[in-house]
Amino acid sequence: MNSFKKGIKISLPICIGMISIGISFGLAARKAGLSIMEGTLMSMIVIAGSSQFFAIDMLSAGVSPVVIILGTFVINLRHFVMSTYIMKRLKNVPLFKKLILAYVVCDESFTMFSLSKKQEDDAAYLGGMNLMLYITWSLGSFLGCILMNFVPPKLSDALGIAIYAAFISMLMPSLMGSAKILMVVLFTAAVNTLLSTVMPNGTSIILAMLIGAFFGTMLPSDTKEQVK
Amino acid sequence: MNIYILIFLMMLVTYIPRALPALSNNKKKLSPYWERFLSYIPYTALAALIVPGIFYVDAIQPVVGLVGGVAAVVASLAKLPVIAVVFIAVLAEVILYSFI
Repeated sequence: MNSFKKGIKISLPICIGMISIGISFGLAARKAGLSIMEGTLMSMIVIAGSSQFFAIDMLSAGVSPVVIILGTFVINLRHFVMSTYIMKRLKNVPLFKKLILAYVVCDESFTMFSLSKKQEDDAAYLGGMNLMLYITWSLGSFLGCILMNFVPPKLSDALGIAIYAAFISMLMPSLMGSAKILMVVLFTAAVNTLLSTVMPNGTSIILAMLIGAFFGTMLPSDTKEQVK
Repeated sequence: MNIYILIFLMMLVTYIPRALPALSNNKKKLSPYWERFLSYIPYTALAALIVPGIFYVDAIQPVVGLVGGVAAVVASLAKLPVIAVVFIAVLAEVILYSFI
């Protein structure tokens, strides 16, 4: 099996997760007032789940686009760290290939790539993974957007919780695994609750996530922790 | 702002940090401090997005968000996939709305 096919194969379990988060995103995007086209394109172009959820949440709250873009930048800045690791492994790969591969650097591709041993052709391996992640993420979002057409208006009221349920489900596994992350999360939630009483919603979220991360760096470090 | 311009700008601020390491030849590494700082951002972002926003899911009754949130936490603890967690939380709301 060549490296490209290996990359496709190893990504399959994660792809099921991508479709399911994609569907949740599509539903939430439509609920926030985006069209099928807008919701799907956001996934196909931005390819960064948590920032997309953040963006549609802020859009429906009528927050300024400047805040949305700034928040997107902060939320996705971690990809710089992941990309640094990935590009180090791809140092002999032509630049244009690296620039294409960089487009789909995300938590999932980084985790899979960094956990797998060096391959015959690392670029093709990552390419296979990235391609699958890209397709399933876009497809899932599209399906979610379409699905909203079949949701009866009565159920639509109850769908407001969907985005938060998705957030909770993304957060819970890490909370259970680490007391430190649990502390950081509770601290950030408290800070944001306080800040949101004195400033606009989007601004308080950005500030709270920065303050929360600073708080995290002050906690004693343990060796098991890894950059995700 | 046009939504498509917003999407494009979101892509730009997301892609630039992803692409920069491909361009730089220098071996400079981010200090461990900033690496740790950035590693917390996904969690703190989610935390700030959930609280207190979830309590305003229903503008008048915070209990609506609370019930949906508890349902989502329980479903997550059962290690269900995201789509199932979302489904259960929505179901909890549907049931709740038929009582209040």
